[in-house]
Amino acid sequence: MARPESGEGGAGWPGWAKLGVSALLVLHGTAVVAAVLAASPSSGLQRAVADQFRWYYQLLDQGYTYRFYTAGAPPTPILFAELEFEDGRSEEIRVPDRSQAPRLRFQRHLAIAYHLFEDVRRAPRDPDTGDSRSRWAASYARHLCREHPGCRRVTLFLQDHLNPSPRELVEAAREGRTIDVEDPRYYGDRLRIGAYSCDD
Amino acid sequence: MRRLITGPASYLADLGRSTVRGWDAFFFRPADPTPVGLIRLGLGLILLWDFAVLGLDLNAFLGSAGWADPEAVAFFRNGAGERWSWSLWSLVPDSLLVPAYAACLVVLLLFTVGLWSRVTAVLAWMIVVSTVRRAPVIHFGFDMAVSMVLLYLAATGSSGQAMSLDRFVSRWRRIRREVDRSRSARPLDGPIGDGTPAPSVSANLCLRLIQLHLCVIYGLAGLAKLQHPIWWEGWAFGSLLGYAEFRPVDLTWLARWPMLLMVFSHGALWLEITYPVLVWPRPLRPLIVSLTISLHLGIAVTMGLYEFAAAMIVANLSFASGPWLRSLVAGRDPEPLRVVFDGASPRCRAAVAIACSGDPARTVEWIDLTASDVVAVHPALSEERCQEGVMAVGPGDRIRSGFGAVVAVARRVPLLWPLGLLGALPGVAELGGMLYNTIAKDRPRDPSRTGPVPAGRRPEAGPPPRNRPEKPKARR
Repeated sequence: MARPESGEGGAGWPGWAKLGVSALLVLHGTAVVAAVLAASPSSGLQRAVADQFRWYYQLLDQGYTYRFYTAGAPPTPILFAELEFEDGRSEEIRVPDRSQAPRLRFQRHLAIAYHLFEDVRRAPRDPDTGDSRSRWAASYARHLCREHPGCRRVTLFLQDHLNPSPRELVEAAREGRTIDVEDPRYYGDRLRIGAYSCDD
Repeated sequence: MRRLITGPASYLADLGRSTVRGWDAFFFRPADPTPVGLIRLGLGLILLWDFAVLGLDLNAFLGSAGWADPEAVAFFRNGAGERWSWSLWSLVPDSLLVPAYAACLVVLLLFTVGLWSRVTAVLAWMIVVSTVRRAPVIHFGFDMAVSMVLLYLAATGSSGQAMSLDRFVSRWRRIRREVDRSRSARPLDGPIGDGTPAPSVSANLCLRLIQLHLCVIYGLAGLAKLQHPIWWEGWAFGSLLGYAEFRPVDLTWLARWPMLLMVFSHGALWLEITYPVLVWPRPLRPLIVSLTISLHLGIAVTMGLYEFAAAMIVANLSFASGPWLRSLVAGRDPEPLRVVFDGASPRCRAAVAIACSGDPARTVEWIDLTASDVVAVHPALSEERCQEGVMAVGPGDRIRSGFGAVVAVARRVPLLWPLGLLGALPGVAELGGMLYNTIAKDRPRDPSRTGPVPAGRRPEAGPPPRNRPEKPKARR
C-alpha cells in the first residue's frame, strides 16, 4: 500500500484551532460583504457596518465594492497636460498615450487619468480662478515639471472620450459604415483643472 | 402547549448542530492542494509580468518625484484617517528604488516557483499591497483581484504544497536518501509514497476563501448591474464595442447582429447573478466555470484587460479538481516508461533522484540494473548493454538508450519538459549524445553495490501493480 506524502501531520485540526480560525473567517467574511453592500446606493445601516471595518480594509487591502461596468461603458477621461518651457516652446502630453506598450502599461496610465477625474469631481474649486484644488492634480503637475527639465508651467485638462452608442453602432453596421471613434464629436469639452508653476 | 415550546427549541438545536457540522465539513475537511499550487504558479507569472511592466516607469510610479508624490499620498491618507494603511515603499529612498525593485522581482520569482513558499507568499502579498498603497493612482480592478487571491495564499500558507520547488526539494531529499540506502530492483517503489500531494486543511481553507470571494464578486457585481437600464435592454455588451480607449481591436462589425449583442449582455449578467448558486452543484461546475472563463476572455478581447482576465481565470481554478488537473500533465493512465539505471553509479542515482522528484505522477519506473534481471524487463536487454548507458523501455517494446532515454524521461517529467522538447532536435540530439557518452563512460561505480544481490530482491517480470497516477475524480 502506497503511503501518502506527509502533509500537515494529521487529517484534522484540534477544536481550539478550528474555533480560532472560524472566528477569523466570520470577521473576514463580514468585512468583505459589508464593503460590497456599502457601495452606493446603500442604507445608513450598511454604511455604518462597513465603517466598523475601515481598519481592516486599510490593513489587509480589502473593502472593494467590485462594481465593474455596472452602467455599461462610461466615457473615458483623458488627461491632457500643456507644458510651457523657458525657451518659449510648448508641448502637449496625453495620458494615457496610446502608443504605450505593453497593454498593462497603458492601463496603468489610464488609471492615472481616472484617478484625477474622480478627485477633481470631489475637490473644491478656487472661487476666483475656477481651477480645481485637487491634490492629485498638483502632484501630477509636480511630476511633469520634474520629468521635463526646463518646463516652467504645466496646465492640466481633463477631456471625456465619448463612446458611440450601441444603436449608432448597429445603424452604422447595417449601412456598411465604420464609425471613427477619433472624430472630434466623440470628445467632450476640455475641462481646465488648473495651471501649476514649476517654481512652486 | 409544551410542544409549542419544545418543538421550536428542538428545531433550533438541530439547526445549530447541522450548521456546525456543515461549517466543519466545508472549511476544515482536507483538500487536494494541486489547484492551490496551480493558482500560485499562475498568479506568480502574472505578478512577474506586472512588475516587469512596472519597472518601465519605476520612478514615475514609485519614486518621490512620481505621479503620486509622498506629500499627496500622506495628505489623502491623513484626510481619510487611514491610520492602519501601510506601504513598505515609504521606507525606500529614491537611491534604493532599483535595488528594492530587484529584490521584489526575486521574491516574486521565488513565490512563483514555490521556493520557501510560506514566507515568499507573505512577502509577495506585502509587495503587492505596498505598491497599491504607495501609488494608488495606478490602481485598478486587476490589483483588486490579485490582492484578494494573494491574501488567501499568504494567510493559509498552503501555496507550496503542490507544484512547487519546496515539494520537489522535499521529495528529492527523501528519494535521494532512499536510492542511496536501499539496493533493490525497484528502489523507489513504496518508501517514498505515490507522489500525490497530501490533502490538507490549509489548502481547503485557501480554496474555500477564494471560491466564496469569487461568489461575492460575481454575485454582487451582477446584482448591481440590475440598477441600470442598459443591462435590461441588452445593450451593455454593445456599448463595449465602441469603447474607444479600451478596445484593442475593432469589433464593431458584430453590431450587424444586435440580437447576438443582447445574448452576450443578458448572458453575462445572468451568469454573474447565478454564479454564487450554480457553481456549487458538481454537475454544473465545469459548465459555469467554463462560461465564466469565456466571459473573461471576452472582456480581454473587447477591452484589452488581459491581466485582469488572467487573474480572474486563475482565481476560478479554485473550483478545479486536483486529480483532473494532474491528469492534464500526466495523462489519464499512461503506460509507464521503464528505465534501467546503474544503481552502482552515484551519478546515476543522483540523476534518478532528480527525475523521480519531478515526476509526482510516477509515470517512470526506475529499475536498478545491479539488483535485477534486465531480461525480465525486456528480452532484448542485456546487462552489458545496460552498463553502457541508461535504457528506457516503453511505450510497448520500444527501447531507447543513452541520451535518447534521457530525453524520453524528460518528456515524462514536467520539470524537464524543455529538455524533452529540445532534446530530439537535430544537433541537440548529437551534442547531447556526445556529452552523455562522455559522462557515462567515465562514471565512477561503487564496488559495494556491484556484487550479488541478496536473495528475494530479483525483480518479478512485468510492471508492478502500483505507482500509477490515479484516475480523475471530483475533488471532495
